Amino acid sequence: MSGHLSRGTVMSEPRNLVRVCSALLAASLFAGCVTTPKREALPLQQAARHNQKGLRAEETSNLKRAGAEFAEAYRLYSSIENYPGMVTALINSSRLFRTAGELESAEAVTDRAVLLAVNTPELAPEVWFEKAKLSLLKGGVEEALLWSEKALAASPDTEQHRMLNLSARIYLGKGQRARAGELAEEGLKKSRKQSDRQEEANALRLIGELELLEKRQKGAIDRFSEALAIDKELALPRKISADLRALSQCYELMGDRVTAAAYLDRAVEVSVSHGDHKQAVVDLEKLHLLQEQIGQKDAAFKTEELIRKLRQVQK
Amino acid sequence: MITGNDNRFRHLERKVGVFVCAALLGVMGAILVIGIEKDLFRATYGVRLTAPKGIGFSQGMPIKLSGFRIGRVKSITLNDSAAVDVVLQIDRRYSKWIRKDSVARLIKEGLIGDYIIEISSGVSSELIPENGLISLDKTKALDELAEEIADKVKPVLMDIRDIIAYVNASDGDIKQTMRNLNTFTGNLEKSRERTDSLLTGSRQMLEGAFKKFDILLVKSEARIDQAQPLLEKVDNSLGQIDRKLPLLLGKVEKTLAHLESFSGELKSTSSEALPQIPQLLDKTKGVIDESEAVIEGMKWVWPLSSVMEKPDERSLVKGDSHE
Repeated sequence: MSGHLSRGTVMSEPRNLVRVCSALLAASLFAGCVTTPKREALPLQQAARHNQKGLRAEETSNLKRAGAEFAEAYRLYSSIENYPGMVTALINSSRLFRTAGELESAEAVTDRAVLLAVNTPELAPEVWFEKAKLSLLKGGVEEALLWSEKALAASPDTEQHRMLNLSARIYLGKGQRARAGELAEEGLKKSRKQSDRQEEANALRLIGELELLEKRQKGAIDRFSEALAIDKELALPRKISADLRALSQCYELMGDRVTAAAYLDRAVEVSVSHGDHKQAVVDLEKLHLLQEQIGQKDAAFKTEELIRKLRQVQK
Repeated sequence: MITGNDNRFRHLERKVGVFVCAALLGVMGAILVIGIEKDLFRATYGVRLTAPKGIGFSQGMPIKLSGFRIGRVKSITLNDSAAVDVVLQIDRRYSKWIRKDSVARLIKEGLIGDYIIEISSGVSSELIPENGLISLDKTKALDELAEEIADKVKPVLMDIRDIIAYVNASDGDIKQTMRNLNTFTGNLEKSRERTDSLLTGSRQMLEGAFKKFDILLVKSEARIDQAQPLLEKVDNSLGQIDRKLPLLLGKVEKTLAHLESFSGELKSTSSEALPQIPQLLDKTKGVIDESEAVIEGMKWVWPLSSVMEKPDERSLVKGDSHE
């Protein structure tokens, strides 16, 4: 009896009522903080998971695993005729094949993506970008230009900088330096606007190459140094090696063969450490020549030894 | 005396008449036979052919098709181009086989037979008309064939002559090899003598080795005598092991019995527990899935959502403009 009375007393007390109301209010506010993610259909989830696994494998340079994951993602997307998913998996596969140097396979999947891109206009610029890159690698500059311009015209503002840089590279390949320079400068501006550091370095490298062709070595050194700083920040070994190689070339053209040799030596070290022995051998041969020209006999002998060792490793 | 009443002159007119008739019949028969032989009574038609040379052709020479005579050469004349025009007279019955693509060939019947003209029946549906031209297939004459064979055999004979000269050359490889072979067989005798002396030496060495082996055997016997006490000790040890082994085996047997009862208990326990394992696993998986879902949900509850790393929303491998 006393318990019943006491409970009634508790509930009727204004202070406790305020507490209960406050708790309810807090709970309702807290409920607003909870968001339940929208659940997609199971095959879509599975396909997306395979695609993500492929991306992670690609980041760790496990190309074989990445290829298998993208192929499985494509299979799952195909089974439900999901065009955006199919095109995404095909673009990813093409980029993998391109990295592995299997251009014919890359072209085959890209051609399939070109056909499917009609159904996914939002991914079409990426497909055309890929097509342009492949054409450029195969030496079809005119064809590459057609695809890159198509991609540039259709791409959203957030992706324009990449397309501009690619078009600039193609114009450079065609020998139209002025047009290449304009596009690269625009690409640099937009890359900075989008905070895309990798493309910013690409644009700087392009401008550096143009400066070098115009015999403005000092300007080229500045651009390559800027690109090198960014590539170091992003930890991209191949790009770092390319920047160091370009800097070596600048100093060589300026007649400073000692500094040129020092930069080339750094480029070699980066390539060897990264496992890019093919590029390392090319650079070492150039370094050997430079060392002989500046009279560094011992260093030249060591370089020769290293070339021999790397060639054996390559075999 | 011959008189008009002689029996020999009886029916004389009739007899003369019969004789004259028989003679006339004989002459007509001969004309008929010759006419048939010369194809005078057969319907024929002419076909022309042009040959570069008239050698082998003769008037009246037979023309054959598949081995059967079908006509004769009617005439041979020299034309304005110094070639020979030959007119063939062919039995009209066989005209159906003489077609536009038929070919005439001048061949010999057998190796020493006379020349004949052999015509092949063509496959064309069009026939050669009266006085039409049939083509002549040029066959090689015997002397041409002989010359051709001689041309082919000549290099072979030259090669054979060279080979014989090479074999006969006094300083050539063959003669030199023969001389080397002679020297070699001469040296073989010396080698045999050396081998004999070597075998004698080996025999002496073997005798020495056998003597040493005898000495070794004597020494080994002495060593075995020395090892005798050691063997006795080993024997004693084995006796002790033999005594203790049954006790040891008894203990092992007890241990095994315990182990057996334990494994029996384990078996019964596992037979009860095993069927429950799949269900248990299913439940566990369900609990894990639920937990994952709860954790996933918790991630997006404030304030956790503010500290959680955002999931990778990227779906494309980054397309670098300069690789």
